Amino acid sequence: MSTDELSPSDYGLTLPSEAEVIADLMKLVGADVAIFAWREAADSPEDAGPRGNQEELLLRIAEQLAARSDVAGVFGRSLAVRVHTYVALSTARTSA
Amino acid sequence: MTIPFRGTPAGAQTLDDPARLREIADLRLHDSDVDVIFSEVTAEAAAHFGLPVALVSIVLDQAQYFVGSHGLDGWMATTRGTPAEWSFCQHVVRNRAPFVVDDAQEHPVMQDSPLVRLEGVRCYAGVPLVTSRGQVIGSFCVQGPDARSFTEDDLAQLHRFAEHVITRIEQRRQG
Repeated sequence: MSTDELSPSDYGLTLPSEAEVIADLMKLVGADVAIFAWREAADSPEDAGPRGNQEELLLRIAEQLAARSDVAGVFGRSLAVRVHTYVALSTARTSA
Repeated sequence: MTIPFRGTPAGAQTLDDPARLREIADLRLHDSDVDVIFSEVTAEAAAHFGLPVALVSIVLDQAQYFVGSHGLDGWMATTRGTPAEWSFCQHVVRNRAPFVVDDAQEHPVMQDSPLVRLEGVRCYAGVPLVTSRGQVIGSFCVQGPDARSFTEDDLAQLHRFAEHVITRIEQRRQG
């Protein structure tokens, strides 16, 4: 079986919900910083348009978080890698 | 040789340790502008070991992020990382020690990883990237699709590559 015939579920990879992401961020940086960082990322101009699908929303927020210079930024990059991986594996499946 | 790993010992480093993640943030290693600064040393390492892939992998809280790579193709070349739980490099950080896998298909810790089952990674050797503050931020590693053994000399050479990388990384430290 080639990678193009596989999907994220073959890898055991799922997308987190927004609530799960916020909870994980809170665990790392505390509630106050997490809520501030999340609102700042979610309210960014790049996110002002239609919400799109879950992958697009999470990717936009992850990249906004990753632009920060603190631990929330590290979390954002981590989330971005996971969502990019999910999208890449989904795309390989779709285009196979 | 004595294999410098096996499993996860008690008291191992956690990936979400706040001080470790602050160190990664201070070094700006999650920035997207660090992508190709280690391409030269990874190419040199891959050639030295005769293996197709060498990586500078920063292990974040939930993912590994490749800030330098040689030989990646397919989706990993695009994503520049993988979920942490799939990775060999997480064990370098968790154990704060080299992690060597001669044959991942037979390895009790790694054989179920998608990188082994689905991506065909079979051998791996990685050493810690340790900052001047004593934080293990990731791994310098080589990997390939065939089983092979690594010697003490191989690990010593990997450590030399890692020292070069950490010197470059320290130059990024903020304030």
